[in-house]
This record gives sequence, structure tokens and C-alpha cells, in this order.
Amino acid sequence: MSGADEGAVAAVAATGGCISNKRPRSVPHLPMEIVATEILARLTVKTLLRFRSVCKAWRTAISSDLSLVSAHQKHQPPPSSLLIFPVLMCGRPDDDHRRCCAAEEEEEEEEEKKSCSSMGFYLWDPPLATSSVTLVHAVDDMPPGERRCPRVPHRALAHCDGLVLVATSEGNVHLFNPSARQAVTLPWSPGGVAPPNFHGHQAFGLGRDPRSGAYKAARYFHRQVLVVATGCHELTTGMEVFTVGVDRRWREMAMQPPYPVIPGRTAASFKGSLIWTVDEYHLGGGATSAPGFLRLSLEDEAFGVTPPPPCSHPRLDYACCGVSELRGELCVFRMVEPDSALEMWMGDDAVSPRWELRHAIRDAVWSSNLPRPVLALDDGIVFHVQGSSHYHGYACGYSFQTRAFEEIAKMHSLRGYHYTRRGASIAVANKFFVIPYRESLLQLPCLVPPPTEPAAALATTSLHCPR
Amino acid sequence: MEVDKGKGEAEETRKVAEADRDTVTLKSSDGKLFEVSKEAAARLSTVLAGMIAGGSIDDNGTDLKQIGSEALENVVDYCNKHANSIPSAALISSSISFNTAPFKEPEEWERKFVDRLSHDALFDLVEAANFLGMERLLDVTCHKISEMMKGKSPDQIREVFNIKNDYTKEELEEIRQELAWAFYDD
Repeated sequence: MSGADEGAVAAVAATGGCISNKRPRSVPHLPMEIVATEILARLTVKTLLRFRSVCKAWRTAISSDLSLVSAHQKHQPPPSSLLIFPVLMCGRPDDDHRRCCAAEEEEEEEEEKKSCSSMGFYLWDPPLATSSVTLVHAVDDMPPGERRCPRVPHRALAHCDGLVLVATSEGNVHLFNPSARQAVTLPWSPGGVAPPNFHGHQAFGLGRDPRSGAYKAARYFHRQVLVVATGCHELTTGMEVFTVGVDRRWREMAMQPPYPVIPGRTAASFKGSLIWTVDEYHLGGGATSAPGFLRLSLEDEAFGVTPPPPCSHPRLDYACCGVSELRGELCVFRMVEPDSALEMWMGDDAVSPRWELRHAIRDAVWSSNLPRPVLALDDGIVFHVQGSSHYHGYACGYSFQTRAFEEIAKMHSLRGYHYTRRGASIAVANKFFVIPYRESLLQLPCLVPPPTEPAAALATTSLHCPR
Repeated sequence: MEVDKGKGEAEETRKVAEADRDTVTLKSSDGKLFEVSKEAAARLSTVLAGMIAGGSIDDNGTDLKQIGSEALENVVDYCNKHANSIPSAALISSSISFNTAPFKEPEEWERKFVDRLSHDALFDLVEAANFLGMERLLDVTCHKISEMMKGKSPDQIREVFNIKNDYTKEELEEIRQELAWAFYDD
């Protein structure tokens, strides 16, 4: 080998780290930077998790390189599949449920293990006529805290880039990455505690800070404070943020949200902003109409307003509309009487959107709940109609060509978890969270710093895998 | 190089004169010369576009010391084929404002172009495309490599990329057990 060749090999070895110099001339070695962002970024999460065992440099890139997570997102096509998560609800009145829990907890736990079908994230793939779903991430073993009582009802779900945040009625917040089958429980925070006699006091959001690439969870909440001057309790609002992989606890923002938002309505995650629906009935200060949607910019963590679409006849009623991200656009949707047309307004920006009335769908008989567009495909739209305690929810595909609806992903087959041995349902899934599916390479356990104190413990868990 | 800022029009005229030739000559690290369509080179490579615009193109062969003749031949071949093909839809920005720019599948001729390359030639071409700022060629070649990787075992991957296994047996077992499901076939 000549001196020049040796020099070249040394230079390549220095950039690649794990590249062998066994075959100096014909070696197909590439700098790790190109390998990661141009080649590994095109592979599926499952394949990448397997390739962690290729060499140490690859494991480091796959496990903890945020630029690879971003490049991986960029290489994914717009979502065309759905992720369905059955919501646990109590099938009995609360009192009954509580008594039952206390008395039979231990016995039932054993019994349930035998009789339950798998709780977890189910995947639905097009075409629109498909009715079957497959389990991708079983969460029978919820993260610690939920494990002993898996029937704690789920209250809210937020999602961004394939990551899913699930909040339970006990105030716990879990973060899932179904494509990597990982989960963490976020730290407890007083913001998760409802004020006395206050039902539904919080609204979540999950998004990505476009500058740092970090994912941030946000919680809007109501709380009761004691006003010293008057000696009275008053309700106020607050916003707290948790940066995944960085924060050890939720950080409450110094500034109060400028407008109240409707509790339970999860924010749409759109272009680095979280967008909540303003609660027009509690604006205060004599105001009766909202200036738009409440926006939180994740980059500078500052509040703003997203102007509403120019709806008229009738004006936009915030309580009866929905906002979501749909294939890279912001969508505000509402039902307009008398002919129950579903209007879909599409906007291109979170700060000053140009709005366009893209669809006014009149061809359906909707049930009483507002259908939510969850997936935009080339040939149609998939809507999700949320269920209630009286009837189960469903998803249906609307074809642009035939202007017809078809029920997809027969979700009632996913109902009925957690039956007691007496045959009475303790908790059944009547409601479903339905979200567009993307793969995410974000490794949850690796990004969470080790806990410093028991109170803020961020427990991770290895999850039960289907055979 | 003298630049006369006061005479923008004269400057323009000089450039037009230079642009009379519709090819540029590139010289590989081992001294071989290649002719490539100027229009295609400027359209497909940000680096060559910069050199053409900046007037640093040498009529006797522009030195590309980092690129060997085999890789450069493939680069030139790709540019010339591209010049003859219908403008790729991938390069025309879509009117739909998706926040992501999904990868456009390779066209038939692009697929054939990368399929005939050996492993070594393909990897060299990735480096050349990266060096010359050829986004589409980088896309097409890396897409081909990622396709090749599907269904391969870590052992096979090490062979393709010529990577040395720097794990101990215990470490490997630990990784397997950490996320065992990823090692099962679909």
C-alpha cells in the first residue's frame, strides 16, 4: 500500500468511525453523516432497531441522533394508515365501579389476564374497503402506576409525527411510540389535578419544536387559587410544557394563556404550533366572540392567535367546530344546517393562514357527533365519528369519485375488554381514538434523563409484545 | 478575475459569450476528461451551477480532484441521460403545500441506471453526488442502497458497508434482548 493510500484510509476511518480498512481500494465506505441522514433515514423503524447491532456508531445514530429522527420523518410519505386506540370507559355507574374495584381488585386482576383481548394500538391500512386491523403495539402492560389498575379510563389523546400522548383520568400522562413499541410516563404535575367539582379541566397538545427538533407536550389547565386579599377561591388558567428528553418536570409558563380554551379538546399540531379551540362562553371582560384559535409557538413558547376561516351563514361557532392537521394543512371543520353539510376549511399557515373552503360534503347522514376528518388520501377522506356510552364510534371512508361512504376498520370488533368473571363489563371500549399513523424513530427510554428524585421518577417499561 | 460592477450589461454580454459552448469539460482525479451538458450540470448540481455562474469553469477541463474517473463517468452519464429525458416531475415543485417533501420514486431510466452499477460504483457515486450537491442523484442512489438493505441481517449489512463488528458477544446479546421483537421476521 502506498503512503498516499494509507493517508486516505486514515482520513476515511476518522470520519466514519466504524469503517474497516481491510479492503483499502475497493472499500465502499461512506461518511457516517451520509449513511445516517441519506440511507438509514429511508428504512423502517423495525429494520433500524435491528441494525443497532451492526456497529456502535450505527447504534449511537439510531438510538440518539435527533437529526436522524428528523431526516426519517422527512423521508416518510404523507400518512395513509390509521392508528386506532380503544378508550377504556367505565361500563357501570361510578359508585358501583369504585366499590367493585376495592373489593375485587386482586381477584379480578388474575381473572382479567385470562379473559382480556389485547389493549393497544391497532393499525388500519387502505384501500378504503379494508375492514381488518392488526395489533402493532400491545399495551396490556401499561407503564407503572397504571399496571395495577388497567381500567383507569383514558381521557385524552394527542399525537404528533407518530408519537402518542395518552392522559388518564387519574392525572397520569403517558407517551407512546407505537412503531418502536416504547412508552414512558411523564412526571406528575399539580396541573393534572382538577379543581374541586370541576369536570374536565385540561387540554393537551403534542408537537415538535422546528428549531431544536425536540418534541414538546403541553397541558392547558384550570386550577383553584386562594386570593389572599379577599380570602376567596378563584379559578385561573395556566399552561405547562414538558420537553421530551430534556425536562425532568413540567415547566409552567410565566404567562397565563390569553384566552380560555375548551377543556378536553386536544390541540392540533401544525407547523411548530399547537392550536386550541377558544372557549367563547368564558372569555371574560365582556367579550363574546373569540379572535381566533389560541396558538402556542413551540419554538419560542409564546402565545398567539390563529385567525379563523372567513365562515359566514352562520358565523363560526367555536364550540361546534373542530380543528386538526390534515396532510400538512390546517383544517377547520363544522356542520352547517339545514342540510347537514360538513364544511372543511383548509389553511396553509398557523400565523396568517390563507383559508379555502375545500369541501362541503352533503352526501351523508351523520350521527349527532361531529365527524372528524382524520386522514386525507388521494381519492378520499377518512372520517371518525366518536362514540359515547350509548353507541359505539366508527370510522368511514368518503370517496371523491363515488361520493359514497363506507364504514372501515370495523371497530366494534375491538370492543369489550376487561370483563369480570360475572359477565358484567367493568370497562369497555366504546370510544376510540383514531389518528393518522406515521413511524417515528424517537427512542423514548433513551431520551429521558435518569430520575433524580422519586417524586419526579420517569419510569420506563418494556412492553408486552405480541407473539 | 476582474469584476466590473459598474457595467452590468457588459458583464452579461461576456457571460453570454462564455455560455456559447453548451458543454463543460470535467477532469477526474486521475486526469480523465469528460464532457457534460452545461444546462443539465447546472440544473442537477448546485456545486457545478455555482462554478458555471462564477466563471470558474476551465475550458481545458475543470479539476474535480476528489472524484475518480469511474464515479465521474457515471455522474456525467447521469447528467446527459437526464438532459435527454423529459423533465422529471420530482424536480417541479408541487402546488400542494405538504410540510414534508416526500421522496419521488425513481423513474424507469433512473432505476435502470443504478441497477447496473456494482456495489463499489454505487457507493462511490453516492459520495460524488454528495460532493457535487446533486440532490436527485443522491436520492436515487441512496434509495437503491436502502432497497438493498431490506431483509438483510446485521452480518450481511456489515459485509455490504464493509463495517467491522466492534461489539462483544455479550453486548450483541444485550441489544437483541432489549427489543427482541425487532429481530423477528414480519
